[in-house]
Amino acid sequence: MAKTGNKDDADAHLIKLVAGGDEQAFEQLVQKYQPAVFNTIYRYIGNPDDVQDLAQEVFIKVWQKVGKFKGKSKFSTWLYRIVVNHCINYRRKNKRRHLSLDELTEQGKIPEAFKVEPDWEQRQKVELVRKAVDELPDRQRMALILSQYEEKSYKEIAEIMKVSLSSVESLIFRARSALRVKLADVI
Amino acid sequence: MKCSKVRKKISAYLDGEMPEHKRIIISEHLQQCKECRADLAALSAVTDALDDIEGIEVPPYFMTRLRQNIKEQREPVSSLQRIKNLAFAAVTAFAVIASLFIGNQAGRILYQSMAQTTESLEAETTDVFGLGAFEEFPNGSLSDVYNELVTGGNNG
Repeated sequence: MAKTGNKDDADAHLIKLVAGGDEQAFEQLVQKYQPAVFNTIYRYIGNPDDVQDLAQEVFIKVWQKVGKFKGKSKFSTWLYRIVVNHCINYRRKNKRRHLSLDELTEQGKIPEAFKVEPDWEQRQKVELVRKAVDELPDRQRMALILSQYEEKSYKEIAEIMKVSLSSVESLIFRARSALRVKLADVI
Repeated sequence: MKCSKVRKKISAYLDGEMPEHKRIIISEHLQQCKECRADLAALSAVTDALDDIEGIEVPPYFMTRLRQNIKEQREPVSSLQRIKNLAFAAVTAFAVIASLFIGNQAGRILYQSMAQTTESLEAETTDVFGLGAFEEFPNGSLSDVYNELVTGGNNG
């Protein structure tokens, strides 16, 4: 994600072009941010099948609304806000959660043979961590994801989630404390 | 600073999200307090465990699909066009069903006529190639003549 001034300047130039209908500039913007958008959505909604559809919706929204972006915040902050809104709406409509390894195997998404692989135990541990994250309250989960994986500062997270700085601190602290209890046997 | 206050700040301390003067106070507290150090280690272990969760790759066809979606957004299908599309789909479906029906009927007629032809061909082939030779006593054979003599011509 864009953190330096130079990158922000590059975004500003691209956004101006995109607002004027430049499709190539839009594609550059998408190429730059698609990994972050994909992974934030994936880690938040927990269902790999729906990530692409949501990411499509996010970028279509960017294409449609970029003209309204006034540059008061960083473009990445504005983009993450769209991601957060889409993710929250998705979770409201879909109560689906992360599928466990066993569930994935049952559904034929993971062959039985994988279970004898040497790293199976490690994978199960990761799955427990993933499940514990998935069970966190929505706002705690999103704040944690933005901090842990997207390396956003508390200030940026506050802007993205439209909450105070102290709320962000509290959300992340509570998320980690909850995970500490849930994963006591694993970590 | 009290342990309860330090523990609430440990997460932010881990993330480097506090002013320098607070950071120094907490660092000094941690040097002296075993329990708070254990707390820090536990939250740090949570952070490490979270790092093990891998992300996902963007599918290679994502951009192509996005281009298509945006094209559709830009050029919304008009009501008239939608009706035309529906009509075209209906006509196509009718044509496919009609072709299947006609094909089926034609196939049946052709099969029947071929079956008749095969039957007459079989009879003709039997006559021409003398396939009656495979019967017990073929007509005109030595065995047939002998059989007629012996049985007095009563052989079927």
